[in-house]
Amino acid sequence: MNYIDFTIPQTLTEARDALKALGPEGMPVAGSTLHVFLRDEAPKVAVDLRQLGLNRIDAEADGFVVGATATVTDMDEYAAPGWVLDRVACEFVTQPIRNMATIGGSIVRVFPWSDWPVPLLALDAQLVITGDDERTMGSSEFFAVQPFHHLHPGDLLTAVQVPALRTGEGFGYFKERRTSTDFSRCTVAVWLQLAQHKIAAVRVAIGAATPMPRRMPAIESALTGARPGPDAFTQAVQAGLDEARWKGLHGISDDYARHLASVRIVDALTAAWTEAKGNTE
Amino acid sequence: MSKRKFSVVNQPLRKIDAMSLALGKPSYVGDLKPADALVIKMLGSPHAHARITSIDVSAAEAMPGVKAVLHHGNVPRIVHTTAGQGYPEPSPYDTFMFDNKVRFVGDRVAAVAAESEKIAKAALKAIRVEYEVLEPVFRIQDAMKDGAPVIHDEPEAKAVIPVPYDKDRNMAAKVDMEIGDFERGMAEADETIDYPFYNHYAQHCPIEPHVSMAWLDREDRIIITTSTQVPFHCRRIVAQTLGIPVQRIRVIKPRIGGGFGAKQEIILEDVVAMMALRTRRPVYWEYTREEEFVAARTRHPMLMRLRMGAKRDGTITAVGLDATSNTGWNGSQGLTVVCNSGSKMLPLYKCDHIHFLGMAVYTNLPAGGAYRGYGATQSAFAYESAMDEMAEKIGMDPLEFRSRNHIRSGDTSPVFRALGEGREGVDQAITSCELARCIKAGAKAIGWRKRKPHTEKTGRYRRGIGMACLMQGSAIPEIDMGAATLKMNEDGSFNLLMGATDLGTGSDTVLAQIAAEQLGTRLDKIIVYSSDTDMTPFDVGAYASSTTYLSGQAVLDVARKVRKQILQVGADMLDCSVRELTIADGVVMRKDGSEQVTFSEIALHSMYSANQFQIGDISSKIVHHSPPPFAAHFADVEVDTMTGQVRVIKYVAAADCGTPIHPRLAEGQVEGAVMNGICYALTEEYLFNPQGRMTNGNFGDYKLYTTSDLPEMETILVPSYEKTGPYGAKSIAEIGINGPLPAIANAIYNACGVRLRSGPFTAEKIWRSLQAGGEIPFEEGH
Amino acid sequence: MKEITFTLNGEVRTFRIEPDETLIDLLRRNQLTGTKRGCDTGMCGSCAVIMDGRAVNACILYAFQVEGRTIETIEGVGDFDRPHPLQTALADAGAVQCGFCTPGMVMTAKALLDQQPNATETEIKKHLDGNLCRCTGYVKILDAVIQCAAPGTEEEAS
Ligand SMILES: Cc1cc2nc3c(=O)[nH]c(=O)nc-3n(C[C@H](O)[C@H](O)[C@H](O)COP(=O)(O)OP(=O)(O)OC[C@H]3O[C@@H](n4cnc5c(N)ncnc54)[C@H](O)[C@@H]3O)c2cc1C
Ligand code: FES
Ligand code: FES
Repeated sequence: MNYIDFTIPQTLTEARDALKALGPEGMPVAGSTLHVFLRDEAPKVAVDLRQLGLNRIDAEADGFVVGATATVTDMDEYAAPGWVLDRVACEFVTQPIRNMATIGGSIVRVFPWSDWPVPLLALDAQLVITGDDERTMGSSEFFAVQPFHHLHPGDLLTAVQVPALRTGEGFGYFKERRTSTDFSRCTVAVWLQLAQHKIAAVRVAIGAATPMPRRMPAIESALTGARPGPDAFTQAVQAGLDEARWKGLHGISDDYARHLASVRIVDALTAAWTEAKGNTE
Repeated sequence: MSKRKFSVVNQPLRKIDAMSLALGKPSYVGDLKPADALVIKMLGSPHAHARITSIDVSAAEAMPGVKAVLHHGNVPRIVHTTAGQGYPEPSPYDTFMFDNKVRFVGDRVAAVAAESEKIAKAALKAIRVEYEVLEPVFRIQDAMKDGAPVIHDEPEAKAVIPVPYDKDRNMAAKVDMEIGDFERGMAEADETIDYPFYNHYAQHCPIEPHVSMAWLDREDRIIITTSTQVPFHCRRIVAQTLGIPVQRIRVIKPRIGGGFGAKQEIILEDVVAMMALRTRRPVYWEYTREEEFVAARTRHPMLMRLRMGAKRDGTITAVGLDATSNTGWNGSQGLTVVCNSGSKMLPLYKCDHIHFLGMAVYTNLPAGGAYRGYGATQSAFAYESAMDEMAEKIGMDPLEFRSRNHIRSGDTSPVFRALGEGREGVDQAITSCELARCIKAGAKAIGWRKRKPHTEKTGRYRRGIGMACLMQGSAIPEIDMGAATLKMNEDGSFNLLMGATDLGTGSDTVLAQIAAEQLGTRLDKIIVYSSDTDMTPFDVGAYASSTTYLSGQAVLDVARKVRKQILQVGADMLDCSVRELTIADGVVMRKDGSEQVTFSEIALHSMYSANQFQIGDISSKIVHHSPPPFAAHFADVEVDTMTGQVRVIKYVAAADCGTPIHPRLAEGQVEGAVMNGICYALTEEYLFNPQGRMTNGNFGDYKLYTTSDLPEMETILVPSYEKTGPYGAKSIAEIGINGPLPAIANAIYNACGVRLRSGPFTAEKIWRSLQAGGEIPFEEGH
Repeated sequence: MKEITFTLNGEVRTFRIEPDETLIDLLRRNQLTGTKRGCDTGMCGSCAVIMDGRAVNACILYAFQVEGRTIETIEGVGDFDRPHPLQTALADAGAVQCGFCTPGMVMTAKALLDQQPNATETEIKKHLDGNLCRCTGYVKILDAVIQCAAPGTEEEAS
């Protein structure tokens, strides 16, 4: 990034005032790890978000509130019953990047290969935006467009609310790549709830193999109420694949991206189902 | 087997520069940059093939802080090769400092030297260039077609040694050789095979990209400090390119952040020297990672055809190898790399009828160069894959098939004479070969006996084991020369001055060990200085697996001479004859133990007391043999047959490098080379868009393994004693990179019946091959 | 040009910086050249330094982001007369070939071992996954770091 100035506000209000005053010239900076991909942007004034105290992870009654500047390492090291994002965090890029990158920075500008939107879609996380007042937005709505379009100058993403995994629920996550630190070719996250040996509810999200991260509603509705099992999973996935447009990244073909998705969604469903079964009282 | 007991050689001592590097002391070119150095940036061509019809640099020159702009209109036009090789070079002369034609995306158009990087980059944007865009050629097959666009249509391009060169047909090199009667050998076979293979583009990826700087000293000489494997060739070629005497240039090589062949090439030095002359200021030029991928050198991609005939009893009756390399926009190392594809693999198995055809073809893509393995990596893939395929055809275990046929101590091969480096080679008999023991030890470590054919495997995840045998060489016989100077100081320490170029391999340490062993002193008494064209004697540099074997002989010889001088002074001081004396741990003593003088006393005596002279000498050596190191590699892999993803679980490399002068560094050479080979086999590849621009020139997209991808790695050194080498040593640095491509390909076949003939072995390729029942045709990549 | 103040290798220092200057540029122009540049895009780890106890890549961290923080670079880690145990172990294991990746390896490994002196092999592999080495194949580097993390080496280390 080409920065012509910077400011390091100490409170959320200061940060918001600075950004409001700067308008399109202002650029929030958290971990700064995305800036490598933004090198051609017009000159901006950097507003550092890391002194605002937004880096806490708190357990609440039905889930967790992750502050927008909590780092991936913070999420990796956090442990509490029902917390699953450590499974996503530990597969994210490299240790120094995990140490720098924040959850907020990871989801405000989305690339096809972005990791974090996928699990947040599957978990139906809520995004807290602080503008002149505070708004909460569901992940489906948040990721329906490039998320920064939801933010007016001076608005900041301040927290992510993530439900805890409860009894009868399971979470499956796969990130398909060549090496451990590679960009994903296909990211799949599945959240699944069992009741009376049937799938009471399920959310399937996919990224990297599609132009933008998304849910797979046709697969979800085919599975809701069904008896889980390899055949049911495979059938639902095969029948539901066509609702997405498949796009191969980094040298793989669209066909193969689609095929990878078909395999990995079944794998993630199986993993979530296995966990849900073991996660009964 | 080692025949001797050593005290310094063959010991795992601390590498002499390890601590200073671990402490982060200023060591590399970039650490030594003067604060007032100008920064150089290069404008790269946006077109793969175009003529520059006009260039206007006036706006750039007028910018405050811009000190000089170079382009084809204002520098000497002198044809040369960028290949850092002996003189006259076997590579064609086909390159200019700047040309009025660009031949690949990223080719030099104009260079700016400015007070800061920011200013230099802004100045590049201010340069106006008009191009006449020409039709580009990317594939070997297309470049060889009648009527293909001619990439080197300039009249100056030529070969400077008597070898075939036909620039009008984009042919940068050609070599054709037959031993016996290949067709007859094929006719005698019970089974024959005829398969194509393709080796893909890859880059060395030294973690330090190319970097050079230059300034004028008070005598107006150009001092170039550069990350190079070939300081002396660099001096010669820069002098040639600028049209100035060699005498006016001094090249200093500080520590190098990895080379692997990439830095056996003159890539930045001509421009930094020219800029220093123009601006009379220190100038500094460092490649970005992206430039390193595109504008430095690569592994030559090669198309191969391998034909083999064998009898059912396991006799190989004929081998035919056609290798055509894509040498890219220039012909650097084109001839010699392709020669090596023949000469470093074809002697490995006994066979009376051998045909080899090698060619190098120009295209509008990045240029190939020297890269660890140097052609043998490419042919090892074809040959060792074919060995497995033939073994299956004749119904023999692939290990057994190799064991029956491989070369042994006492054997020779007609290939050694028939194929040299752009000329005839040198006859040699193998005097040390422990390949049989390498195979045995490796097979045991991998669990070869448990290996089952792929037809007996079921389930989603399938394991497989594969192997490959390898050989390389040690220096280029009758061509390469190394030299060393050794002098004694008054405290009994020694300066060892060498042109030999440690690029991170630890050769400074290995060579100091050889000197210390011969002198009879400790390693820490040897102060090594390498390499500096003003201060150290000549050496060809670090390539062709030569440093230990070749420069080691020069060091051994000079240490022998100095040892004699020390003994003579000792004899004078003790008033006895040299025959009555011996040396141990820096002390000269009478054999009966009655009297002694220390090295320090001897040095002081010879400097200040009587018959004063400097104890010291210089030696230079060429070699008459190139004894091959041998290796057997084994891979254990797992294939996910649903996705095609392959994972290496265990990799075993057993290698015979003669006496390992420094066992830990020798292991390190194997481990580093194997890891590089594994990445080459599985993940490393160049992606180009249809216009010939590389689209993945960064470490995010071009993937190297990291610690969390590491398979279990086992390295087994199987010592032999190479009597022509210093203390029994031969080479080890290159050979290890040649194994993973064939060993993993063979393991994948053993796991799931998929035969891969082109790298990298991506998940998609394996999945598609599985869909197709075992094999898919490949496309020459670009 | 604006000023920033942070703790650098135990000393509170103030520097004038450009707004778009990265930490690696700031360090290197102040003669702290032990922090190496291998890619300038956060993908190789040769520039790793420790910020508030965590390894970060100095090539993608802006200098202004270290205002008020604590930065350790390789120059602060050891010297010939008092090398860090990691430096000794790496040198002795044969883990330093060209050495260009070594300072970054030392910093990343130190950040881990400072926090988890008995880190397991798996943890070590995970924490070093951002440091590329093209020379060694990582085998001897891991040997050295694992050795430093072995239970019982803590006392010797201090
Ligand atoms: C080598 C490398 C590899 C990578 N690989 C991957 C990968 O595989 N998968 C992946 O998902 N990502 C990857 N990334 C991208 C990057 O690391 C992530 O997107 C990262 O999580 C961004 O977080 P950050 O805190 O560094 O954000 P920053 O870079 O600081 O900011 C990113 C963007 O978000 C805005 N922003 C940040 N915080 C807020 C906020 N609270 N409110 C409003 N706007 C905000 C910024 O203005 C900026 O536009 C990689 C990066 C690198 C350098
Ligand atoms: S230079 Fe910073 S990560 Fe490569
Ligand atoms: S030692 Fe050379 S890159 Fe690691």
